Amino acid sequence: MSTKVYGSGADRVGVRQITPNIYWICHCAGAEAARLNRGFASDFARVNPKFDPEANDIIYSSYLFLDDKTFLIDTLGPAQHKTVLEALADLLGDRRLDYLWISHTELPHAANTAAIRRAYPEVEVLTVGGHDHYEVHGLGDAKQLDYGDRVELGQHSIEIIEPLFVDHALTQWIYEHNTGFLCPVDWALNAHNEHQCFRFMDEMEEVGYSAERFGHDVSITNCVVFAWLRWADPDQVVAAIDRFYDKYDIRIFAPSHTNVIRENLPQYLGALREAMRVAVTRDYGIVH
Amino acid sequence: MLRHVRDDLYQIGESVAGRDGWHEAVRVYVLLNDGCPLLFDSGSHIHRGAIMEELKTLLGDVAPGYVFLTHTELPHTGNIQAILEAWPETKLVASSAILPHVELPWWVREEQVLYGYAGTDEIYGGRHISFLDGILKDQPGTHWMYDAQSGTLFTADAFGYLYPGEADLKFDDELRVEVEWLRRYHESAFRFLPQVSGAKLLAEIDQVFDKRDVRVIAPTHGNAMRQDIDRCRDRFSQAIKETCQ
Repeated sequence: MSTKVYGSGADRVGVRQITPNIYWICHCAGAEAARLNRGFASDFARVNPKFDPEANDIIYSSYLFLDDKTFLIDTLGPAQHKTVLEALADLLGDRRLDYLWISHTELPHAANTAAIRRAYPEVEVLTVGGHDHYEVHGLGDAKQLDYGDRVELGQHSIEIIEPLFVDHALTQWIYEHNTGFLCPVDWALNAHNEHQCFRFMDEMEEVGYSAERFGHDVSITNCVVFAWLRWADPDQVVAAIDRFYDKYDIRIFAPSHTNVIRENLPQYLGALREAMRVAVTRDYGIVH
Repeated sequence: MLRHVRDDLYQIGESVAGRDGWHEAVRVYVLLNDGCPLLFDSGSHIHRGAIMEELKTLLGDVAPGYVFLTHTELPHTGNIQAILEAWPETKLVASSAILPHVELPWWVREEQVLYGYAGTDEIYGGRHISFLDGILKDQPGTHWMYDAQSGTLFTADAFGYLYPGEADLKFDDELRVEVEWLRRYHESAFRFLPQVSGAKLLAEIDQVFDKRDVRVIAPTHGNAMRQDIDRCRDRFSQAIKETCQ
C-alpha cells in the first residue's frame, strides 16, 4: 500500500493511485478523528451494534484525472486548503489544471474553489446547471453543465449524470465511460477507525472489513445523509437502484465519503442496494 | 434591508435575482434580547457590506452574544468572518450534527463554537432557545430553533419561497405569499421531494407546530411570516402536496 501523506489531523490529505491516470486525494483525520468528529461512532453503534464504535473517521475525497486534459472532482474542505494544493502541485507537476468540477456546493466539497482558482488561474470551473443564484455559493461564474453533457479528456470521457440520491439541490454525479468510474458523491458513506486509513475497499478486507459491514454502515449513515428517505417507499428506492445498475457498467465505485471500491463490485453494490432498503425503513429518532 | 418583524425580532439581509426574474431572499434574523442580541444565520458573503451596515445600525455599540447557524452552507455562514472580526467575543452555535473541521472555516477556533442538541432547551444571554431536528432540509447538519418568548420558529431553508421583485421587502401580511412561490422554491431547493410522500412529510411538520405556539415562521430564503400562521401553513402544505408524490 503506497500512500503519500500531507499534513496531519484536520488538514491531513493522502494520495492513492487508482489507475495509471486517476488519483484519489483523500482527507481523513486518523488518530485525531475521535476528537475532531466528537465521537459519533459510539452513538451509531448504539443504534446498530454492528457499527464499529471506534470508527470515528470519515473520508472526504477529491479525484484527479491526468489525461490529455486534467480534471479535478471537488476540492475537499476548509481545513485542507493548503494540503490539497500541495497534493495537486505534486500530481500535476508543471501541467495546468484544465477543469474543476463541483459536485455540489457544500463546504466539504467546494470550500477550496477560490484557492484552487488562485493557484491555477486558467482552470475552468464546472457545476450543475439549471439553477440560478450561484453567486451566493461562490460559483457565480462557473460553467453550468446538464445531464448528458460530456467532457472529453483524451482517453477518458466523463459524462454528467442525474443523481439517484441528493441532499443539496445543486448536485450532479459523474460516470467515466472507459474505466467505468462512477462518482456518486454523497451516496454510500461508510466510516473507518484509525487503523484503516487511506485503504481501497479490497484493502479494508485485510483489516476485518467486509461487504456485510459496508451494508450495515450505509444503512445507518445514509439515514443521516439523506434524511428524506424516511418519507420514501423502499420498493421504489430499490427499483430505482436496479435501473441505475442496469444502465451503468460500474467498475470503479468512487464516492466522496467511501473507500474506493475497485474489486468485488457486485458484492458491494448488492450490499449497498439492500442497505438502502433498510435505511428507508429505520426508526430515524427525529426530534420534532 | 432592516425591517421590524414583531416584539424584539428584526429581519435583515438582501436578495438575489435570477435570470427569469424570480428573487431569492438570503435573510438574517436578530433578537435584540435586552442587550445580548442573538443572530440567526449570517447571510451571504456577497451582501457583506449591506449586512454589516444593517447590523451596526440595529445594534449600535452592543455586540451580538451568539450567532446561531441553521447549517453551514455559504449562504448561511458567509459573514461569520466579518461578524467575528467586528465582535471577537461573539460565539457561534451550530448543530451538534456538524463536523466542524470540514464544515466551518479553518480559522474558526474550537472555543468559538457551541453546539445545540436536538431536544434540548438552553439559555443564551438569559433567553431560552430550544433545538429540534431540521425536518425538511438539504444538508444533514441542519437544525431548526424555537424562541418561545417571541414564538419564532427558525426553519432554515424550509418555508422559503421565490418571489417577484415587488415582494422583496413585504411580509406575508403586506403582500400574500402565493402557493406557486412556495412550490417554485421547494421543488428547486429539495429535489428529492418528488420521490417522497407529501403526507408523511406534512405529518411531521404538524408535530412541530402542535408542540409549540408558533407566532412567527422565519425562513432564511423568504421573509418572516408573522400573521395568520395557519393560513401560511395551509399554503405551504398545498405547495408540498403539488411537489411530492
